[in-house]
Amino acid sequence: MNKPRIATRKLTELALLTAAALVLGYVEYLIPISGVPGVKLGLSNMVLLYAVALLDKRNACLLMILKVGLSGLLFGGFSAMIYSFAGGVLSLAVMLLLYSIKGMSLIGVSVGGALAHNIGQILVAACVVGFRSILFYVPILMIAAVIAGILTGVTAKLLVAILSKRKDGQETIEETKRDDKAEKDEK
Amino acid sequence: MKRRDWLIIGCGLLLALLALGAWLLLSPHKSAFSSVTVYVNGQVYGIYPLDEEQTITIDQGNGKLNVIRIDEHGVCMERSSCKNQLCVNKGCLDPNNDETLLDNWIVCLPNGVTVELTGGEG
Repeated sequence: MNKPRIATRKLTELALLTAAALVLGYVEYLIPISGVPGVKLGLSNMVLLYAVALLDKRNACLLMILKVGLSGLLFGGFSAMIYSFAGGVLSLAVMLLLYSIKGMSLIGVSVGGALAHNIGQILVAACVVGFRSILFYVPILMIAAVIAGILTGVTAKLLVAILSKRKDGQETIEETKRDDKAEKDEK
Repeated sequence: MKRRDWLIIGCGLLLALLALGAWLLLSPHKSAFSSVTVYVNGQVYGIYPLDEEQTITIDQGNGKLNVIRIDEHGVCMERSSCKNQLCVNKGCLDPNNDETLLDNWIVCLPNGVTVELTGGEG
């Protein structure tokens, strides 16, 4: 009896996070912060950081695939989807790995993810046009990843601290409610 | 921020430094540019002399079209079918401009077309 309730709840949570990631991605797409192609804040990465910290691995992967697929369909197109998929897979793998290391806060996880994301995109671009022509951008993209990674990491850390507390709170409230109901049913 | 976070940040900066080094090694030195090399999807498409005014049209047949112009201003991407138009907005690579030594490429990533100012060998 309890299983479907949890599944619905997970489904809703995942849908909500996907929507949040898409909106953040779109906001970013609307306001380019710099003239350099490929440099962006990585706002939607905050949602993935949340997923890495508070969801299990499977759901975090699912969220990344949904985000990449849907934003590709909505804004980017097919070639943009390949770039963001490469970035997404690599960054999620690195973030999950770093998160499992002790003594690493979400900031380090975020910076590692941002670096991996940009490396993934550079690799795809290198496959398309060769490495030499984009070598100029590599240092810029790495430094941008460090800066953006710290910013989103700090934000995600605060966000997770607040949301995880809330989440636990809700869970206990609902659990007590359920227990109450079970007691009533027994009577 | 914990100590291991700094380790990751250090790794990122190290990567940037390494890439910078590689780029400095591979970028052209003070040699005069004399030609333009055009690549399509990573393969050399053609090499053109800089002192000859001409327009190169690359039609890849699948809606991907690029028009490259070589004239007294240097080499420019005059027109491109791509969406972001970064290559067109980049303007001309002027072989006499010192900035060109830092970045001697025009890249049209969506179409896979790149233009390199290439030099008198040596």
